[in-house]
Amino acid sequence: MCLAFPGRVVEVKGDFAKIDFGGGTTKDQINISHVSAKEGDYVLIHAGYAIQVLDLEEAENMLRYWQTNVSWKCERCEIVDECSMGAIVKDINFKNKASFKVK
Amino acid sequence: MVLEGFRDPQLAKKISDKIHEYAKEIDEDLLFMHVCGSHEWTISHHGVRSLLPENVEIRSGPGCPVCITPADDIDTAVQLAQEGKSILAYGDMSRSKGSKGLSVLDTRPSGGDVRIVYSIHDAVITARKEPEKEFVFFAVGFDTTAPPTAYEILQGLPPNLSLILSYRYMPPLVGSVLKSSVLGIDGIINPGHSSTVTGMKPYYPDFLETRKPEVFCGFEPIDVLLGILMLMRQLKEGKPKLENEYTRSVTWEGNVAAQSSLDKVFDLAEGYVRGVALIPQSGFALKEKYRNLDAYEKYGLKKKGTNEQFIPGARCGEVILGLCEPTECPLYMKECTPQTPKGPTMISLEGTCKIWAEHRVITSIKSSKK
Repeated sequence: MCLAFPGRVVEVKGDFAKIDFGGGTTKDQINISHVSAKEGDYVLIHAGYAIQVLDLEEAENMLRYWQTNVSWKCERCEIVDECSMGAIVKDINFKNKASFKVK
Repeated sequence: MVLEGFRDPQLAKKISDKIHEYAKEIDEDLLFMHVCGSHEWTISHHGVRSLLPENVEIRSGPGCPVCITPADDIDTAVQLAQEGKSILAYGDMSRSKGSKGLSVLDTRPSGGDVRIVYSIHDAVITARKEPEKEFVFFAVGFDTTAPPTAYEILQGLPPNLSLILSYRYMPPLVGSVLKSSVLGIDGIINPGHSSTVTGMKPYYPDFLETRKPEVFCGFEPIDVLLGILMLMRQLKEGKPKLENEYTRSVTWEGNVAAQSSLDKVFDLAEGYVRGVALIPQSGFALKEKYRNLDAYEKYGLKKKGTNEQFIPGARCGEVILGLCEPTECPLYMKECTPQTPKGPTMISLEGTCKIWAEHRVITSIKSSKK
């Protein structure tokens, strides 16, 4: 069951939060114990439990990159060996999350 | 909201043009698979297949948790309902039929107490409200759904609530799909939300062994198109990768807090995919100290194991595995419709047959392109 929806954290109360799903829909008592979310963050919610804080800056960069250059090639892969975007076939440690930085 | 950009039709056209360009260069029939009912919904609903070239096929693999729940577990739930226990289940799970053609919901006319819930949280609240009743929650799902149950177990389930567990751990399931010579796929779109929990890391060993292109994808139409483009780019360049399209959610490590809850509550065990195969290390079993929460243990029941997984003539198992399309099943949209479903792939919200039927797909997409 992969069905999950994004929503904005309106208020945090311990393990739970009030979430705004947009279009006038808000829900109280969404369990956020498995994520580190603060007010204003967007989270992915599955059956009443948040599974991830969404990196919207990453999403925006990515869209912009694809919109301007469909033949995108990850420049990080040419600079560093560590990349969570594309694992080159060799034994490497993944420490940093690569991202699409538009130049 | 930035996420609306993931439905941009102009960007979709650009990506589709690029896919066509790569398809001409590669010049071979390509079969890609995904393993998520939600991906199939996005693909069907947004017409992704209509944007693909003739030689590129994206097929639905084993990604529907209700579909793959063994008939054995359904039979057990039916038995418990007949014995007076109250069964808490998702709507589609309650309608899925076991080996004798009976679903949990079918016990209602003869007095079975079956209640539809949307989450483990609902199940806990319901059980707490009626402490004198015995409740059994049909715990079905993948890595996305297991952590909330782990959380509730760590908080302490009410004593009158137990679980029929049918959670599956996706990485070995994906591994067996990649290794299957019967399927012979050229690349895979990995599940986006279950890997948000597990991270990309557990997929790495099987990737190294099979060296087939893999992309973790989001669930908007642009996500899926990008995923297909990235798979084709890997093939064109001859550089298979474990690549991430869903960077706003999936990371290498995954959700460590959720994994920690899972590690405290569950061990990995065999997981049976209904009508298909037993996949090692792909099922979640309760650890020793929580085993009393397992309904089988609590009520002294044993798994019977049955070969009768689907009704005669139905090709549910092949649809689940991705060996055939729903339109290739003789019952599809004849005896078996959303109103008169005969198998789990037509009952479940994430079943391929149900999704195709709801989108009025009557003839094979492959033949309609020729």
